[in-house]
Amino acid sequence: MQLVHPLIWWLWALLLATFVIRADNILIAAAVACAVTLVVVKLKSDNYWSKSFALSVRLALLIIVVRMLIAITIGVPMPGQILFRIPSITLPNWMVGIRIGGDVTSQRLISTFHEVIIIATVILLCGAANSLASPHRMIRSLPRAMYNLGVALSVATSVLPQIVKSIGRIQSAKRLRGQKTRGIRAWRGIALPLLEESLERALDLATAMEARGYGYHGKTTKYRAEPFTFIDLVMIASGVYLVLLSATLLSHFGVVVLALFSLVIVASPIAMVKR
Amino acid sequence: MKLRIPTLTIATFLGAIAFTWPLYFPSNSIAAISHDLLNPTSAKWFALLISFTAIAIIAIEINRGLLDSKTVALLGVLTALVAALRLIGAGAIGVEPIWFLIILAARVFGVRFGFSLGALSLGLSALLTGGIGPWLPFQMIAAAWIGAGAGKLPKRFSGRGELVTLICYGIFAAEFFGALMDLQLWPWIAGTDSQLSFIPGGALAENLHRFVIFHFATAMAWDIPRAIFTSVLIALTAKPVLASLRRADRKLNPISHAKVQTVAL
Amino acid sequence: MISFKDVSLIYPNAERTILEELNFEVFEGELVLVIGHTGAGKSSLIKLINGLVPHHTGGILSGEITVAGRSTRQLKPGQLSDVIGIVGQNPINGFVTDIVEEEIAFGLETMGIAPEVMRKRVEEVLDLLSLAPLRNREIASLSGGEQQRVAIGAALVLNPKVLLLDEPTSALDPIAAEEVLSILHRLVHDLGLTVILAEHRLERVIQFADRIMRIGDRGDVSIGTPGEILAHSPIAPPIVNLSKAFKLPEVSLSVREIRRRTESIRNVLQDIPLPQPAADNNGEVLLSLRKVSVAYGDKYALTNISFDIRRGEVVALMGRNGAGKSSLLKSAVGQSPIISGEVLISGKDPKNMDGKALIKHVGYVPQEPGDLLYGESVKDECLLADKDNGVAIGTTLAIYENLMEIPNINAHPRDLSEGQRLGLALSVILSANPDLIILDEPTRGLDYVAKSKLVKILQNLVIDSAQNRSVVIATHDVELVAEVAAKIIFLAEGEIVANGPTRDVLTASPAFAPQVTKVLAPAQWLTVAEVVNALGESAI
Repeated sequence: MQLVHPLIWWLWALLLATFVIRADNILIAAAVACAVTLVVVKLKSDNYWSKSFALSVRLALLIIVVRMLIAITIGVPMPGQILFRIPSITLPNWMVGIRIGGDVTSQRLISTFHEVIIIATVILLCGAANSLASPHRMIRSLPRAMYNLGVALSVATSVLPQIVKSIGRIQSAKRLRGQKTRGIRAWRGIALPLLEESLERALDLATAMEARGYGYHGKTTKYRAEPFTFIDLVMIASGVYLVLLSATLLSHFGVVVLALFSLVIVASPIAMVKR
Repeated sequence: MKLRIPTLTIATFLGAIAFTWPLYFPSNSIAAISHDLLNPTSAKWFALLISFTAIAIIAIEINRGLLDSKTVALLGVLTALVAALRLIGAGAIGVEPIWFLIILAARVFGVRFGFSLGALSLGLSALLTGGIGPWLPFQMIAAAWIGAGAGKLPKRFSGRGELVTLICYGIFAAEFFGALMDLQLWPWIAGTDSQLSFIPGGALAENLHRFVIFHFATAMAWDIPRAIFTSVLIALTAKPVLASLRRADRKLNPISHAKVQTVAL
Repeated sequence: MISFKDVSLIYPNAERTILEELNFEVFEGELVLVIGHTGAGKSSLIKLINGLVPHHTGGILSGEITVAGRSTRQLKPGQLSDVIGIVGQNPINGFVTDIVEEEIAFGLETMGIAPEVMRKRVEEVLDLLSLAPLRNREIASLSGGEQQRVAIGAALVLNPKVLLLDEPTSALDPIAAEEVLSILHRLVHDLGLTVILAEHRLERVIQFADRIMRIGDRGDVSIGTPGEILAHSPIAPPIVNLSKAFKLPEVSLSVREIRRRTESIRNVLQDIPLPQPAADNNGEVLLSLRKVSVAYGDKYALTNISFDIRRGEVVALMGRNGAGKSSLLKSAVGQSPIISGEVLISGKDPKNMDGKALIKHVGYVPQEPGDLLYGESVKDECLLADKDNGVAIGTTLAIYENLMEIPNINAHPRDLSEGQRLGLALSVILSANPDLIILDEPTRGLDYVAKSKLVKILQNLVIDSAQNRSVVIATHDVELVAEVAAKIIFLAEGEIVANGPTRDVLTASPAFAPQVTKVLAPAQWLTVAEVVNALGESAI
């Protein structure tokens, strides 16, 4: 968002991730996950990087499913309340004699779910920061020690959408020559013009940068830094608060209250950021 | 410009630890190491932190090599190209068609360039698609290694010999990447409580054995198609792609003379 | 301000010297126009001034070049960036960031200028180039003319004394080109900037050039006032050729000038009958659109379009950028999202036709002809085309050699000039022998000579072949349309606003009239050739 410094989104995500890992609780992880999803849905803009959260959600769900499946099929047996039974096959010795299947206990399921939901929440937090923080603005916020890298990344992020458009244009041109546009055989006819065009672009760019004096003057200065605002401070403060005090809060108020509390705090940017 | 040995050695060392720790992580019974914070389950988060450190060092090192406009422009544009191929290519052809380009570009532009291209292109494409997760710094490190390796291939091969070398490297790189990423993924996906998990404090051979079986499953699904795909792409396109890259290299680094001698016409 | 002494330039592996023993001086505040054939060395000359040649692009240079007292021999281009700014053809290729304001500030950042000074200079440049309302826009979303303005701003922000422009309007449509050229004019007059401009679109620029430098084919350079140079130059806009046809003592540089001097001749021409329009064409309908509407999402690109293209016609499709020309052309090959109406190529729907069958009916050369090419050399490209189109080996190459005077078959397609690349793309689609040929903005980047070659090629395509082809050209270039098209379809906001003979449509609107029409208004002459013929036939 325009009002939140892009690096702050990442720092906030990092702090919340630390909080979730330390709290080590399913309910809290779930609360944070829901809250952050809400923040993204309400605050994201319409750019090409904003759509990445959907992918993060899918990835998180996939990881949950895969992990649970692994736990069910080849998990180390955990005594407890048996929920269901899968017919078991013992694999031959050269495969370490793994036993697939067997009894599945609720303890097993809950234990695995406990671990994986924390991972999933962290992924959601990364995805949220990714879709809320503009990559262009982030690159502008890089420290002076990485100025050149920042320029290269700036070039890359600016050129990328143009290359994507070029691919469409070249595919359209291939169809004009009556050729297929999918499959490995078509690839040569797409990759080569694309590569040539990109190299031409690199050449033009090098000329332009050279003529503007890039690399000749040792010192570089920054035109304007991304501004830090009060909202940034509040978000970081709340994140730090959660991380440091999670243990005490937990012991005083119990899990449910802490979960609700964290939900409110995590979702607070929605109220603070004006559109 | 040669890569500076100390910083890169440190980054490589850190990266190696971050990848391979499950193979030799000690068990809880070793009281000196065991800590409320650092245990087999939380170790993966620390490995992630170590990988961030490695990435930061790599970033500074890449920055050092970007002093002239030609390298910056070329790296920026090719990073965007690889990232675009990763974004779009999957839809157009199947698996992500990025390795062939990283390897071929590294072949023409050198070790440092391949290293930078690998790291940046995987980072950028993840940033733009949302493939951000605990695996990202590891992917970047692995890709950087692959790019650097491609740049280090002996220069004396050319023509058919070069093609064969590149295809072999492509197959190796595909498997190498798969193995590394599986190694990273292992504790996250199998945890510590399944029959295929790593054993804290276990013998190296035992852990390796378990890993190979874990890897075997994913190799079938991803690594073999990636290896086939990459080598086919290299085989199909190496000649024209190398030619284009070399032409661009010549144009970017021409021989120039601004002498006063009159030119004989 | 700029001085060249005994400058010679040759590129390694080249057959001839680009420049030989060149001596000249450019004074402060001059606007010098550099003209010459493509490949003659305009670009090299421009890049010599700020040292890009030879330091960046290679080349062997002898002689001394001094700019504002600094020698380019010792200094690299980056060290001259505070004295000389350069703007190229494709502005978007030279941009480093995504936001207008950041881009303009980039040059200042790399020079380590203090932030307060940066802010002031950026504001000044934004005001100077009327970019203030666009300051936070993404550069990729701007029009071509706006992008070029940003490029000029990015160069101006360093406060240079000299501004070099290498064909800045090449990739722009006429309105954007006009914008950029008038800004340059203002910069020279208000700021005292020295401007060296390489151009081949001379119509608007010759009026305010102080001097013109012409680079001939063999590296010979002549410098003088516009009148002097253009009187002897084969490269000239229609006005100059018209002046010569009228045998005026001096070449005129603007419509106003020539009108003042030719009152009697114009009166004579008023009474001479215009060439007869061609007989009505009743040939077979090759392309037919019936009530076609095209929409992208919920935005309509075309609404209710209907027209026919018959065999043997050359039709121009005109209209502003965004009027729907590309959507219309793409619908003829089944690549537009048509939501209603039907498109028929020789009676069949192009969307249902197999690719290989379609190319035998319609050949389409896109705006970037290079998109069609993926061979490693001209020869290779032709072989690939022979295979793709299913024709005998050598067909495409034969067509190409026929079209071009200097085939240059071992060159890489990307190294060809714009005109040659267009010719190659045209050959590739011609070898499939289509009845209908579609060209999307073919004259972009072409100089007058290449354009007249294109005109001849198009005319031959139509009359010379056994099968009487038709050609549809989408273009902004009124001069091309006047020379070659029999009919014009004019699009605005997705609808046809005019569809009729060229003469009627072009003379009806003052903004879209060719130079000859503007000069001879209200008579409806279109081209210099027509006028010459008319004058020749009747006794003056």
